[in-house]
Amino acid sequence: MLELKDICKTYNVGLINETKVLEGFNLSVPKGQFVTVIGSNGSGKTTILNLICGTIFPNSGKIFLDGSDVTSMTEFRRARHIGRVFQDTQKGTSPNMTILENLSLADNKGRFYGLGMGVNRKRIEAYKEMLAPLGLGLENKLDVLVGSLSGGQRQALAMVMCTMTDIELLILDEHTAALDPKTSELIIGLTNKIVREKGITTMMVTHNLRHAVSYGDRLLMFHRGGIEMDLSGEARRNVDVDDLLDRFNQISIESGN
Amino acid sequence: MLLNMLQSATEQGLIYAVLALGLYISYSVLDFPDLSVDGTFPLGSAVTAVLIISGANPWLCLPAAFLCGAAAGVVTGLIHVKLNVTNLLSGILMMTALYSVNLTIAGRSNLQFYTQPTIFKGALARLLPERQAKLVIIILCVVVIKALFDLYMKTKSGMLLRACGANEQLVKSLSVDSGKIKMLGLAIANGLVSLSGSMMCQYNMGFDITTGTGSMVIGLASVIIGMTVFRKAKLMGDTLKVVFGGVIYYLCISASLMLGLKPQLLKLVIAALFLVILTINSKLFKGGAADA
Repeated sequence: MLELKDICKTYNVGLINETKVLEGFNLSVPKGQFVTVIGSNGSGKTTILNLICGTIFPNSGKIFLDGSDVTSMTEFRRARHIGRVFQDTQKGTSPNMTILENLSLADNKGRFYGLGMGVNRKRIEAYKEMLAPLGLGLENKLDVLVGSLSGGQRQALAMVMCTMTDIELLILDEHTAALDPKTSELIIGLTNKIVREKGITTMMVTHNLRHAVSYGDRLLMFHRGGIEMDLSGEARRNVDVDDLLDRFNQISIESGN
Repeated sequence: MLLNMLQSATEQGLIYAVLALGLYISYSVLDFPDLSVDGTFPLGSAVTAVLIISGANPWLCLPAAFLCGAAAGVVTGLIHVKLNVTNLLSGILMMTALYSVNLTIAGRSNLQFYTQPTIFKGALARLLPERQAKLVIIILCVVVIKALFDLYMKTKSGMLLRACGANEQLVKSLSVDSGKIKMLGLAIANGLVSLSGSMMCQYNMGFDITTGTGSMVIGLASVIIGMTVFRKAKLMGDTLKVVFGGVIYYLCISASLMLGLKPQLLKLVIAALFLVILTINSKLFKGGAADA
């Protein structure tokens, strides 16, 4: 489904601050798998997500999505197949428009944005059905400007918007990190529900070790541009937060910080 | 006498309201401080003057001016999006280039056509009482333009334009090239500015290269005045606020000229007035960010 082959990525090539982040990186994620990714700052997690989404391009190597080579495809074209929710709760919605208008925009993804009316009133019931399970009461606030919603509400809306059309891959970029603990739990629960119901192939980066062990079918720990730990099946089920913390500390000591 | 001046100030204010609608798209919706406006306003005038002198239908000059302005807007967008020039600089480059383009189109720095037909002298004007004809025709034009504008903003394309200014990432996430959306926005914005230039040229029965100087400030001041003065008016749409902003602005200018302001000081007063509005505006929004 998603395949990264022999990826090399160096920032500021030829400059004094040249930084090699990835060298010969390989990763294969089968269809329908829910992968959680952890790793310290600078371990290459964000670089990988940006490479997958086309925000940045590799120096060498290939990226395949559903069998087709997307290595040089631009970000907006790739977005047709990939949904992404960011840590920044402002990035997934448009604050100057109502919930209804935001949903209508997302509903039209993959089709032409022409001179037809932007809001299709016939879809309102369907939108309400999508929002009701969130338990945030958003279904009764369709005409409220998104800018006046809380971070958690906006993030929940962003989740709904990016999964309402068919996507092949869902990228979650520390999407609960900017939320308070209670809202963070709400969003992660919602995420799990959507991912499981729709069976979307998902990569979720998180700094919350408990989320990393409680959700998903496979756990990856990144370190210095490589995969330090790759657990699935039995091993994945038996791992707990303490095991991960031990491993983190071990790595830190080895790398001297 | 006073009533006459008030009427002509309202007429010109309404023509500038069309310019302000253009600025509303680039500045407010797209968050793009587009200086090419100083070139596209006289572009509309130059095109109109040449067409009218060559005997074209004055009503056809309006869409012609819109298209020319839109083309210039696309070029500004191309410079910004494809060549990665900053938005401010792209506009300045375009404004500078258009100065020569406008002189080339017109052939010289001013052109008069006092005897040719204009939209204010045609069949429509003859149906109306002579003294109010201009005002009625201008109001008619502004109402049609505003209605089309409001309608467009509700379409899929218009909604995407609004999203692009507020959150470019969202547009990319929706699998749309945000660069193209910016170009589209600049095309509409400069089209409207040029259309306003065409109306002003027909109103004055002549083209003058200097009319462009300060268009950006006039339009921007109108947008900001409208949005500030009517910020509490919940039932009023943004576009209506902008239109009224244009009229209020021009009434202020006319009033200061009437009170004996020397014309050579006009631009200084415009700049000072603009500064005052900006300061008041930032104070207001700092105080009540929740309003925004």
